[in-house]
Amino acid sequence: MSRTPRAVALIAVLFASLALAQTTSVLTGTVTDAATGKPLSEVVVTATSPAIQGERTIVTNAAGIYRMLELSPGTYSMRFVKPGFAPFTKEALELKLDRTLRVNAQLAAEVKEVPPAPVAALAPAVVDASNATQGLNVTRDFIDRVALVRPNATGQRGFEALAQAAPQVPPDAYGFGINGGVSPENLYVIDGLTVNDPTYGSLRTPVGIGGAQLPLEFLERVNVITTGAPMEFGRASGGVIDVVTKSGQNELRGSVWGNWWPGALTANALPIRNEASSLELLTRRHNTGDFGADLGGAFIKDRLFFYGGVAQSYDRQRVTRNVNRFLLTDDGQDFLYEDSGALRTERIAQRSRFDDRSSFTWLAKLTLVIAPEHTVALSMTGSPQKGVAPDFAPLGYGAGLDTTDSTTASLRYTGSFLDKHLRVNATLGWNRTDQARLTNDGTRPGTTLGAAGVPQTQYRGNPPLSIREFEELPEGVAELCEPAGFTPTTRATSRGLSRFVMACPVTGSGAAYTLGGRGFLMESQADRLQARADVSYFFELLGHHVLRAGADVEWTQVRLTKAYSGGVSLVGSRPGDPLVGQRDEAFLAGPDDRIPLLSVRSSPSQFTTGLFLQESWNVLDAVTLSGGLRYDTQQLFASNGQLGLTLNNMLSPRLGLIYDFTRQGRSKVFVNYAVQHQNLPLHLADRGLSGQYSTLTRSDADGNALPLNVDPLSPSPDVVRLAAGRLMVDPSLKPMAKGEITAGLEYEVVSNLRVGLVGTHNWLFNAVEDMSSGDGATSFIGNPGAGMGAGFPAAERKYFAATLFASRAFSNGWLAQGSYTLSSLYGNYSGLLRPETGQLAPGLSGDFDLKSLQTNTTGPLPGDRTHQFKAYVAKDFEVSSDVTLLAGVTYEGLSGTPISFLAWHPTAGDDAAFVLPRGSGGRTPFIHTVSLRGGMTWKVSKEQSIQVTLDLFNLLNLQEATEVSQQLSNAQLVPANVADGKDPATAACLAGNSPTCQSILQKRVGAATAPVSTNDLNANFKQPTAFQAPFSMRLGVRLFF
Amino acid sequence: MTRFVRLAFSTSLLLGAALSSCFDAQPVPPCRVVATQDFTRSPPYLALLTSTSASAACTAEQKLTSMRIGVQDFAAPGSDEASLVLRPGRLVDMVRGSVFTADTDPRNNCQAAFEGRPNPRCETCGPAGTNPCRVVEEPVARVDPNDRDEKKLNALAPFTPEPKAGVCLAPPLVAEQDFEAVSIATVDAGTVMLPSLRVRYEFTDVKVFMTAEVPGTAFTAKLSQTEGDCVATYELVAFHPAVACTSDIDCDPNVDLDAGRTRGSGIDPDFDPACDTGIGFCVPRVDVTKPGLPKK
Repeated sequence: MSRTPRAVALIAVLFASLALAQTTSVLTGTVTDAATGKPLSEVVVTATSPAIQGERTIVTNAAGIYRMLELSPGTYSMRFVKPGFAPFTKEALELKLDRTLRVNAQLAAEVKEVPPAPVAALAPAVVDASNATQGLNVTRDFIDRVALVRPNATGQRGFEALAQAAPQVPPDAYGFGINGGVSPENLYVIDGLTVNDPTYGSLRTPVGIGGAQLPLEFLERVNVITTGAPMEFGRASGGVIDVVTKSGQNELRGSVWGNWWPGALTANALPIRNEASSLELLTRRHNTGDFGADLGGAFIKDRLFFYGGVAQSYDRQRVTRNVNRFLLTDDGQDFLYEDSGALRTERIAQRSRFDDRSSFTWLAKLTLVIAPEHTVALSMTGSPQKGVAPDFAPLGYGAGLDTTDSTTASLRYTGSFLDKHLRVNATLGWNRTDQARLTNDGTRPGTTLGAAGVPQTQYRGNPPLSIREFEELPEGVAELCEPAGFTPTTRATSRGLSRFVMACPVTGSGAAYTLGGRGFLMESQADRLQARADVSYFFELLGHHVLRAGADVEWTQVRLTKAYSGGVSLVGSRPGDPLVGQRDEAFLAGPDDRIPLLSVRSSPSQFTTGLFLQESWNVLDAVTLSGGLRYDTQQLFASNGQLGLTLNNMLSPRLGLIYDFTRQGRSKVFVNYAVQHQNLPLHLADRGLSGQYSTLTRSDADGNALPLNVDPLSPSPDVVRLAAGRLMVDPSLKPMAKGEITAGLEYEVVSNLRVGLVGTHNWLFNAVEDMSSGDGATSFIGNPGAGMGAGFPAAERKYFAATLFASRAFSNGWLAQGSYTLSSLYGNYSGLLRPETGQLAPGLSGDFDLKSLQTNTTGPLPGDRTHQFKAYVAKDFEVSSDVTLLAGVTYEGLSGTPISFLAWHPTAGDDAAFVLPRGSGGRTPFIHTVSLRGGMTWKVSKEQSIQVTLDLFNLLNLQEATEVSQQLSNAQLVPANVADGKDPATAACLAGNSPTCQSILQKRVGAATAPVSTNDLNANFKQPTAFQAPFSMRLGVRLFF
Repeated sequence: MTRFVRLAFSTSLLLGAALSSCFDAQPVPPCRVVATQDFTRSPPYLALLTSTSASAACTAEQKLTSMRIGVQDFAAPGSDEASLVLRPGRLVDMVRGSVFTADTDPRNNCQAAFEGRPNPRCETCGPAGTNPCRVVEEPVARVDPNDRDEKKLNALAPFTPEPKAGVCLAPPLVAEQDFEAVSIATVDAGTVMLPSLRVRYEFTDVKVFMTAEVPGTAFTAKLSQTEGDCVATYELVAFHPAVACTSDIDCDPNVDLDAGRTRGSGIDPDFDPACDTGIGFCVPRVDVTKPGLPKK
């Protein structure tokens, strides 16, 4: 796998390649004569800002209107000049990303005797009345003052975590779900370039260690768009996370920083109890930190600017593997219990190791002003990341080497024509992502040497096996555990759950003992080429019009190498027994003629195109009517280059109406309707359209093949092919999309403080999924509920939310953001991520695989968080002219996630069947998080300052469960028919009065049913599997020069 | 302005039209038959047979109306070459000993051997007392001494890689066994010698349907059957999977929790399956060779 050499990155930074900040913000307004109120034409309006190179000027038209398009977000100063009138200036105007700021001015006729001053200096608008976009514009003021971003897997404080500050954004397994969606449905954009993982759609993925990343220090702004995204952001039905990195200015500016999260000042995380196994794995922060530097300036004043930065982060976790024995009564017939009912344990052995992860991030930008209003820019970023987990020799336990390297390069032109009435943006971009999941000796997938050549073996013996079946325990404690060969016979029941009485079980009841190699190994390299252009035309016709049109094309290919360590992953019940090979890369050349493949290569690709046309008509500065249409296509190609799936004619209309009753940009009453189509990530083209190669085998403990003895009519009775070939695609397949209606009110109640109430309803339609109408025998890709999938229930995901928010932009030394969201997310399909099982297989999830799984699937979805509170307040205290103290408080409150009753299904396996209606098992606890930031900035000189900050995350060290086990049973339970729900036992169960609902459940025994016994239930059902991150502290120092 | 708008519109329309016409239909995957992903079963197809000819030597038991057939395709990754295997259930049953083989020894008269007691095996032979039968305690497995690894149970032939007009083809496929004579004990403590027997099944004109409606789940063929002196030919329609039944409910593709059915039959609902109690298997109520639009 190729990587961008670090040296190249450094050279690129030093010599600064080319780039430009994203320029999508607008300044507009009307200039009138203060005496007559009539519009003033030919007023020269000049805008200056550190965010733009040089200054921008424009002249008002006959209606007194000016409009500066395609500005970079930042703090602006404006000056209005017309001969015969007193010049008027306005400072410190905060222009946000993708937003329109209205600044009206009234000029007074110049009277020589009176000092020049405007009669009415109108304050700038804080409400963007030009569009219905909702979300959060995260500025540097916010990033610098609020404790929000914890270190990610590689110790970096990455941009993605800023999304959590926006209303209606709860976390999920691979990032943040926005507005009822899940993380792979979001669009992640860095400097105009899409950086979603091409295979899975999210930023983080199940393989590798991270995605495209940039530390907070490189960022100018992050715009988290939750609804009403501009039309250039297409093919994503979730939200948009639009990142703008810093740019160079005429003055040479830079900084050096370091952050440290000491392990000693991080609270211990609560252990995740496993009452089925004596083994416990604990992870504790040892040290986490990052340091870096950035520098920006001009090579040629007003013409050629540069910005560059490098950052290194590291994260060391101590992973401890404990052997805990369950304490038994003297007669060995029962366990000893805690007061809570939990089993009492005693640690008898311990081993530990360090898991190390790191990332190096670089950014280089160069901006060339070719001529006034014509700019070319080139920007490059890179983020190689690495994680190493050594072995607990000779055992596995997650040991491995994971790497991710995302490199981007974009070339962008911005220019204006026709007397600035026409603006043109064009971007060419390239994004390469390398990812690997390897064994920790770095041997490659498909090799037979080293750890990659060792198969993984998992033992699941039930009745449970003792730990001594597998490993030697230290002298003096070994006799505390049952010897190898022991078979328990006594069972005990507590808290409605039954277990075999045993001191040191490591298998059974869902527990497994794994040893050997790492299992699935993978290397991938994805390339994305993107080209996009859009034009904006501004004209007057019974009001102001902005007509926008744009087009984009994108080609993506991923080249994957997949393998299983040792060629196969084996499952058995106890050592010495026959083993079943359930996962491998192999094919059948003929009957019983298994050809093992050391590794399988796959290189699916896709091509997408998009076109949009949008018109916005503003009448009398009061009413804005906008409408647009986006047209997209997507073609997925199989590994052999053949077309595998095509989605044509994705038409996404938008319609919006905005009324500004103040006509000053201080209010907004709006309603917006939009349809957004969803891109299908390449995972579907790899797994569903390129064919899979896997067999089911049986062998003795020495690896000698044994016959499987399946149906004698099978042409290949001793080796069974497991994997499906290329899937059939429903000829009437429709693209997945989301419809959304948003309506709301925003008002600037006092200067700089806006409050609002926004209601949102969205609904997903035409989900694309794999289904089998033949109960697993044949599969196809289609729309559940339509076409070939008409026999399945339609995929449903309905989201309703109302958000009350208040926002005070940073001024006079303080800022505040607060929101409360009341929401409901309901249906039978979460989207491209399946949170119940953490399955990230967009378009190929287990949701609609079988008709026999479609019972009890409708209910509150995992992303349903009824109440969400978010509050961020920060204030600067000026101690002296040189010293400023800052304090920031963060509070986040989040309702728990619904719990479901899941059981085994004979075809789909564990956790596939909903025994009772989805989400009827209550909820995880409400989560409160309070964090603080304190800091001091000392101005050493006019140019230099030092900032010291201290973050206290989860100050109260609250550690509520964020996830619990939803596996009620690994037996086949009959999904309960609760359609009427009237009998008292069912009602009590659904009301949450019966933790396991055992009394109303039946299990299948052959062709008959029988009552569920406590023996059938999972010992860990509803027990926490994840907790809130514990208290931690960050110390940060930054030197600005 | 008008020029700009016109330009934007015409570009959009042209590009859109071009893209839509390039990729206007979903592609059909390469030729394949159903290879189950189910770990525990590998269900065969059920073939319904219509006799087109039969020699006089064919007994009623040898005249077939249905047969289970194991079906599988094989292809190497990235290869354009594929093969198809048909494994006739009747031949497998003979090897496993679960097929009754006619025997003309007059001593083995059903009625006589069982002294009038009911014997279900006799019913398969013909009217009691008129049809001579083999009468043994247990079914007898037959062996082809030249094919002990049972390779010839599989009829194997190349398979077209890509469907043409929704149909995949294969050249004639043959499964055969030359069973050696075997001596067996009868219920009356005697022995009989089953003579050697040549059995051959040849499938010709094999057409596997590969469309969105029938994605390899049905095929048609002509079958030529040779069992000793009996030679018969059939028209064959086969579909996936063979599901044994006693009533229509066993054939229902859908789960029915109220009826305690947590799994469907696995038969494509478009086939509208019903139980044929005569043969004891679910059969389609529609002509699977002329599939209509999907209505699952």
